[in-house]
Amino acid sequence: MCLTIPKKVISINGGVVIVENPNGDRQEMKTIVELKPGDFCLTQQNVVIDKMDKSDAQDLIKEIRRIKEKEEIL
Amino acid sequence: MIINKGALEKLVILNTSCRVFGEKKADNTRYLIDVVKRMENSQETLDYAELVRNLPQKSFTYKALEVFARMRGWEKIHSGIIHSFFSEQEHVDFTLDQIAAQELRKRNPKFADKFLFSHLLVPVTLYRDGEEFRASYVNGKVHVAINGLLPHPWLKGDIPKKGVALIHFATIVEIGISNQTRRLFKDRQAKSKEFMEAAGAIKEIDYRSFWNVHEWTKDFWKCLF
Repeated sequence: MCLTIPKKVISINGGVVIVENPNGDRQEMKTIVELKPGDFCLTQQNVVIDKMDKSDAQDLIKEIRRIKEKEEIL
Repeated sequence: MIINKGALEKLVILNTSCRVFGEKKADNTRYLIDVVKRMENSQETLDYAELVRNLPQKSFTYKALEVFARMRGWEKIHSGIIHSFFSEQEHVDFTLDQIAAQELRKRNPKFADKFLFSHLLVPVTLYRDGEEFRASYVNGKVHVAINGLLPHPWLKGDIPKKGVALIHFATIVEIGISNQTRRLFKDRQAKSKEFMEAAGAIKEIDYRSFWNVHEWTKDFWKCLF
């Protein structure tokens, strides 16, 4: 049960959602929840399964950056 | 969605062996340990949504397990669902997301391969020599020698000198695995191109040296059990 990586919704076109990882990589997803650009979300098998509060997502992103900056993972 | 005690017990064992998840969500794990201890038999069930709502720390990861079960048409999370969730492509994707977010592949590709391999629940031939445990994971042409393993405090039964087991990171999660179950796990994992490439590149992993997993796990268990 690892840390969930929050992704930011960049655009929505029909049923296709473009999301961005904290490192800037973008992916195409389908969604089962209503979204708008700027929302943060949780994805699974190329499907958006849930929205996240912006503050929760930002906390998680901070945590991921902290791990990276502290070189906790070499 | 409901979960039975057997599955919840496995979930706790897997949570308390993950070097990434463990310490960051330790209050949730403490809570789940307490819940497991209060349940009377392995078939007793709990409402999963309520269990997740009552967790002391916010966590989105548990939602992923629920969605995984629903996608397979299950209304009850049992041990088999936990086995699948931690051993299939789903978990590979989950881990690859972390590798990408932390740019691990760019910074240290060898570490990234071991990071991916460690995250999957894998079937191994386990060898015991006194208090020392080592194992080998063989799947087709892939062969990984694993050292520095530890039996989980909740592991049931005596560990034989040689047998089939499931491991996750440095933790021996389950012993007495049948050859049929081992085959099932291997077949699932053989379907994951990313996992097989990573495992194929590793050859050897010693959890005493890799990311201090062995020591971290022992210390973490001292705080929990």
